[in-house]
Amino acid sequence: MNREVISTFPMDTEDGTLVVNFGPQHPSTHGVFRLVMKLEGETIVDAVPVMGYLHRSVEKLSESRSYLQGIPLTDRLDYMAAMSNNLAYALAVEKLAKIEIPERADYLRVIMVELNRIASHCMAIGSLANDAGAFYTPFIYAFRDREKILDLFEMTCGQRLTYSYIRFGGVSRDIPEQFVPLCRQLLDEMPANIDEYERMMTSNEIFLARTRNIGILPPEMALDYSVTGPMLRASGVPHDLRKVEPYSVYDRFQFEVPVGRVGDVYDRYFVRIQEMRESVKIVRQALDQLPGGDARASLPKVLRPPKGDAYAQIEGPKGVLGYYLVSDGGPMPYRSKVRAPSFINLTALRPMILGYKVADAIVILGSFDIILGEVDR
Amino acid sequence: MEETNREPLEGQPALPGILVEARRTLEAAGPGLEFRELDDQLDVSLPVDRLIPCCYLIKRELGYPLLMSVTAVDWEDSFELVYHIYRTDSAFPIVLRCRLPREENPEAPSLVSLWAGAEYQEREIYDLMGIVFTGHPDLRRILLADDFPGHPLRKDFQQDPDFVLVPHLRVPGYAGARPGKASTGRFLDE
Repeated sequence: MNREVISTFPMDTEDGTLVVNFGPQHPSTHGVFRLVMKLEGETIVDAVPVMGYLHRSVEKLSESRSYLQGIPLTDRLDYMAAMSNNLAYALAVEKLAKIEIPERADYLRVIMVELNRIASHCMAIGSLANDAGAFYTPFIYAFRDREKILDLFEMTCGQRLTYSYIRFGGVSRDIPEQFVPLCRQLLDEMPANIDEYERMMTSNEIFLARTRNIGILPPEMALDYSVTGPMLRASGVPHDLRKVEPYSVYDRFQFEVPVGRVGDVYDRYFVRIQEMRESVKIVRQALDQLPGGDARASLPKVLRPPKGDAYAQIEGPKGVLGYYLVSDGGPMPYRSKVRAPSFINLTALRPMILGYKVADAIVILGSFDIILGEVDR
Repeated sequence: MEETNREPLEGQPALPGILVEARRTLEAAGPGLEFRELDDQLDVSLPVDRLIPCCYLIKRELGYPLLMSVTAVDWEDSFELVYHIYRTDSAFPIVLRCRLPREENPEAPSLVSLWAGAEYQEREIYDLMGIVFTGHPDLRRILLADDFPGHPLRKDFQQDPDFVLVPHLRVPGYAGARPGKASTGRFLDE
């Protein structure tokens, strides 16, 4: 191990510092992320994030697949919120090929994406509690509720993680009959469940001690580092693409954009909690307004968008998720680029953990809510 | 919050007011910029040596704080760098495009001094496309192994079948890293 650390981290430790290799096989890294830290006592004086262990060259692969075959690749990026990936890709293809979709499909997309946001935030706060030392108790509570959402998805598209449900032209199939009553039941239970997380964490003394005033990200710095999503909002910038550029039908719903005040780990946790409540509101409105009709537009079997490029982005659970597609008029994208929020948010990790203790670094990394499938692509 | 005031220009598609102002400012900054107006973005093609001054104007004078995406496209006869720059209160981006010559390691100035968020994105482009960003504080490969041969997102990339990812499975002295003995390339098979 030593030889390898030194090969990527050429530092002499004669000055009494200690080089600690954290990951890639470590539960707190949420996947295969590696962080090499140089410590003075317990204080981090330097850090080098190393990634790429899960690189599957999704961008290169999609250059040799048709637009439709590109959808399953998107599922495997942020596998905690595959619906969001499907939606961002579908919006980019629709912008490129100028496809109109039926209104019902727009509503179904919003319902699925917001349910997926709740599931993803459940995972985020559950594992954050884990990192802060509440070993697996809040995690299991969060998993209990995520499970119900996954059941709804399974009922709709037969999959629990890799949905490929949202496609360009609409969604792959309409929701089954039992979906709406079961979804309403879930929405009725959800606020009480979120209260339960809050009772465990929000005013828990240990949790507060571990998260308050830790890993403060000032708003100017957040913008400078292109940080987006709950992290940016926790720093006090009310930037939410659902409000700023309402894609799909988000302009028809009433919801708030929660922001933090300090920009520490606690704010990032609390913004996620509030966002779950807002998502419940959005899904409820979408179910109320759900129009009838087709869930899918009819499209040619092989899609050949005209020459040109298109960039579409959505507010994913982790941040702004964008797809940049270039077409040369053929059946396969000439270039397909993913703007992965986890990857770009990680740019801010090094400056944020410098000067903190090792234990804080783990909580700070936990508050990023990274998904390595998306970081490494 | 959202800018909805659209001033139609003569013979041009309607451009949101906020971008009309951006275009005026960038035009006044000097020649060499080509504008292509779409109804929701301002598309600017510019020579690579104007990149830093223009980005400075966009960030400091026009108030676009968020460098959303940096990417590159391999057009086989040239490379194209594409930057999407956003405001936090408007849906209309400025899109910058720079052409670079198709050579082994084309150079472009790094934007890290203006937007720290460019750091990993530029490293990724260097890794996968082979574009060198001058002035980048730490330009190393980010997703692939440090000694990976070639830049896979290039259209003419050919995979080296002899390349072995795991260093201790390589035959010593062979520069191209051929597999050892009867190695199958499995991690613990030594």
